[in-house]
Amino acid sequence: MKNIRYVSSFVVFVVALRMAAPLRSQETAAPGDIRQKFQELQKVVEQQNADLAEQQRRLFAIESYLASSPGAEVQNEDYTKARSRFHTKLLRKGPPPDKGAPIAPPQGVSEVVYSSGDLHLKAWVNRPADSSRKYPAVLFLHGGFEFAKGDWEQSKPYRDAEFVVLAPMLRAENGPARRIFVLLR
Amino acid sequence: MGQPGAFSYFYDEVDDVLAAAEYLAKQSYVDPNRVFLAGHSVGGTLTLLAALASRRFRAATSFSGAAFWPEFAESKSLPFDRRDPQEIRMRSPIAYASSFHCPLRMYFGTREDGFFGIMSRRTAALARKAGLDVEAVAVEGDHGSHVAKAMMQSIAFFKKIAPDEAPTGSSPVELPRTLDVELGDSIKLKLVRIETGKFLMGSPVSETGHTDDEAQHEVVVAKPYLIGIFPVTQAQYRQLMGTQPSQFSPVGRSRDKVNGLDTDEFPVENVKWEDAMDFCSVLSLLPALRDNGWVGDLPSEAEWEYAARAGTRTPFYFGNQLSSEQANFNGNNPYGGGPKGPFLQRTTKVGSYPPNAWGLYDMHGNVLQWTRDWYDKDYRADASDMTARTARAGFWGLGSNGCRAARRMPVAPNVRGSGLGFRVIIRLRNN
Repeated sequence: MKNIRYVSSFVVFVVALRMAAPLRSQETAAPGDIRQKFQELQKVVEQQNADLAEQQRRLFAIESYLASSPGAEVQNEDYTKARSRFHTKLLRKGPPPDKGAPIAPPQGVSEVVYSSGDLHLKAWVNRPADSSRKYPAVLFLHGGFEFAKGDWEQSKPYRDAEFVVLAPMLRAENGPARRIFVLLR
Repeated sequence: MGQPGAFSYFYDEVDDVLAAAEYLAKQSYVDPNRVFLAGHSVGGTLTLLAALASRRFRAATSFSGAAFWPEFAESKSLPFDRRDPQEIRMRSPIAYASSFHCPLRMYFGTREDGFFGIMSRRTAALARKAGLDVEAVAVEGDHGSHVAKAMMQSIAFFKKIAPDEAPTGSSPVELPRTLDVELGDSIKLKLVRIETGKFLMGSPVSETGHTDDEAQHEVVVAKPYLIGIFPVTQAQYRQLMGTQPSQFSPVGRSRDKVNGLDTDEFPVENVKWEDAMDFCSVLSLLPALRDNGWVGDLPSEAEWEYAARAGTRTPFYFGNQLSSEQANFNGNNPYGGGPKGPFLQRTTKVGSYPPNAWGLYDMHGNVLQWTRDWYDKDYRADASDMTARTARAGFWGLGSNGCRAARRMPVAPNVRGSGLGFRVIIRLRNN
């Protein structure tokens, strides 16, 4: 119910903003600026509307999730224990939903290979120049379902603060874009 | 070419994250005591799941990590069956919010408060109720733009949790006579102290089954150590590493052989030598060890055999005979005229057979146990042929000869198998 109240107060806010916009611009702006001011405010309103639609979509998703899996919040079991008894059953074997492409590391960044079970996967790491010391390290996981140069750049503050950063690519990522899953059997 | 494997949407990818963490911790230029975890958006969700699964990380921060993924409720093209609630739960950090294994900050943008704020605060509240150091933090900005600022907070948080100065100031605390290391979820690792002394390592030429890499010689054990009274169990391994490699487990390749059995206290197996070392490395991170100046390790061959013999000079600590009523091996091949017995063709719960005089179980049979030494026929410490590590104790599939205290098994470090596990020791740091 709280969520609904939150959404409805947002609606009231946006509607109020819409009504106030032309009035305010008439009071304060010279006639020649009115059109421009109005367009700017219209943009703000559009953004608010888009945000609101997004919030509503998310809230609906939360509610439908909680409604479809009652009790999902209260697993008393340790996650590691649950993992040890669970295997996901994949209906389809394929790549992630995002478009990806193989990429080469920028200068000064090493591409390395790590093993996950039987898979050999790539990662980028900034090997320090002074290897006589041991540095603290951050395992940095990229946003989206593919790894891109921007993800590496995002981790710059860690590197500037003298952390070794390893950014792994995960299974099935950064291949040729394929949105259609291959059906298993 | 892209990366191999199949996209599972937040399940198998967690294994990749944990594997990458172990890779990182092993690099010569990385302090394995200060490995942190961070990720944005999809990577934020994986951060939460990995912090639930493993104890490798000193602390974690997610930036817009979803405590559950709304697409699971909406999308028609998921690679798994969303009608199975467990499939969704296992991908939803919020469902297991009470088992985060390290301090955690969940950052999100003020402009995305409606979703990420609600879910992050709820997850943090559930975690705190379980006594965990988890907080949701709003940072000015949207899904992308809040990250730069939040990352500065994350750096401060990491530095507070594990300051740059290595805590090497004080000298290590003396090893206690016995030790129970709490691994969480009521799972304990039990160890006893082995005192210094001398013993005859290897076997006499007259011993049945003796081979020429067992030349008998005196060894001095100069430093005390704690040794696990059991091989590391599946529950203990899972608790620290977040993975379940064992074949004799409900999800393992040989699950048919353990149908209906609780394998939590079966020995972990199917682990490479490096996997065993990784376990020791994470064990060393626990405050119970770190704060006392102790480190987890694999025993040397000498430390293993000294502890296995517990003062005896016979082929087994039981004496000159062995039947499969005393240990888990192929009972069709007893030793020294002992009676034939059962052949279980699988591992057994640790501690199912009588211990030796020093209180150690499963030093003959059940699973082979990695030692930290390279195999050298003449026990040389500076072995030039570094192709195999030595494993000890024999295992469930071998005859009794292979389970003798002196028996040495060269095993390539990257080999895994359902008869190959390990036992840990704890020693003083820099010792």
